[in-house]
Amino acid sequence: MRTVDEFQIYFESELKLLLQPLEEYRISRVKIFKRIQYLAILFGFILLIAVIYGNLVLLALMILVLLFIEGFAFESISTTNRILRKDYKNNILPKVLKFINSDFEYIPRQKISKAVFEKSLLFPHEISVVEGEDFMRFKIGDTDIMFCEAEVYGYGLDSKMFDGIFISTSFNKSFNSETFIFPKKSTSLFRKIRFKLLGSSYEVKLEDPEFEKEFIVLSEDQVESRYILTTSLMERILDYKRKLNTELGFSFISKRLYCTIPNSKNLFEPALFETFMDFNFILQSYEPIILYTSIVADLNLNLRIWSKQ
Amino acid sequence: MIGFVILGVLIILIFYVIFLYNDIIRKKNETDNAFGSIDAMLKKRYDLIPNLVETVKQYMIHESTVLSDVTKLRSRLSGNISNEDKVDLHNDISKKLQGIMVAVENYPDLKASQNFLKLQASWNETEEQISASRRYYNAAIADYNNAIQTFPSNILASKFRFTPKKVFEIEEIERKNISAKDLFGKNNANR
Repeated sequence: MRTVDEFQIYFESELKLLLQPLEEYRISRVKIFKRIQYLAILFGFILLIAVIYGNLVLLALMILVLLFIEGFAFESISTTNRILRKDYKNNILPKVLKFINSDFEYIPRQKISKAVFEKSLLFPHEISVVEGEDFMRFKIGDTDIMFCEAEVYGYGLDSKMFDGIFISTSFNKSFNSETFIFPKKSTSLFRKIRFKLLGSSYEVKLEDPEFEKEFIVLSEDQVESRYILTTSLMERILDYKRKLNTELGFSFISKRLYCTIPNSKNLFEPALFETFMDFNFILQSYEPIILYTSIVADLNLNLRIWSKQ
Repeated sequence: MIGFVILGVLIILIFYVIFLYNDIIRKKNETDNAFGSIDAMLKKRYDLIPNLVETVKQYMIHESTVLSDVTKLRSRLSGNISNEDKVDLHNDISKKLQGIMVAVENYPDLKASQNFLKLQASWNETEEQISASRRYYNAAIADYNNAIQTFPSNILASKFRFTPKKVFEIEEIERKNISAKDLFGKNNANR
């Protein structure tokens, strides 16, 4: 794995050149936006005078002008954002991904299919819609990992079940049963009962008190769940949780590992009022990718010492 | 009225006793079931031994005594022996196999053999499955022992003579044995 320092060198030597035209475009659009806003302030003053003197004709005219100006400003920002976003995602992010791992696939406006989300069984209710973007796939050693930003909705009014990153990766052991790891804090008794009623999953009591404090494990097979969750993997999952500092959910189904990482921030986006020439800007896209792909190294998924190769 | 209350309390008490008794029985059965899973995993390893011995003996000339010991120990397993003896025998075999796996380092041809690598992976997998079964067994035993030693189910347990069961205590040498991951981790790093 390459270091952040190496990435900074890459940013300074190559990415900056690619970002330069984008930055120039951004600055020019911000200038226009600012001018529009100055104009709006000026018309705002005229509007104030019209209010003071009770000139209704001027007041109505100024309201119309201000509405038009702000509408134009909004349209200008939307267009700029769209253009910057498209350029950033099509030309810059792939370079970042390639720097991280040359064996990658990135589709900005794509997400992991709804069927995979359903298969993971990580969501408390039936899924109605999955919205998402920034589909990324890497082949790290023998492990195939893919993830995307996602919002998962169920049925009903308060239907948003999940907002964050959904990961699907191949697992290094073969197994036939289904095993789930839910954060203890957010797993209701209802959910446990639902699992028991709909499937044949039972709570698995594990030896690691720290792990037991953080997670609840449900599985169809008491032996196989322990075969998957070795003491070492439990420690690794705990460390990964500490690193991400959020509530994680995992499921082990059909030889794959699924993971949910809640995150309400929209990642991998350029910001109109932030310079692209600063390393911290690109770091905001680089760091989450490193964090999510590090699940492979952190959970030691490339260790192939069992029958599954 | 008081009669009805006493009758109600008695009925509740009887149902509670039935519940406690069934709970202990369920937990006891789970320990048997858990032991059964260890047995199944040990059988899996038992089936693996002939192939392993056959593959390595062509290369490991100096380890022929250990290999014949493994074969002898394995043949003793097919006799009518108690569960404890069976586990002890499996442990002995495991120690011997561990020695063989360590000695593999001295035989580069064997290390490169695809057949051996496959067997090594299967052996490793079986070892971890045995370890998982033991952990399940120990968890089931702990659950059962807690049930028969805590109030009020301990009264019922002593009445029906439910006795505590022993957990699997793995010897230090065998702990190392189970950590086959380290052993093959080394191998992996060499690749």
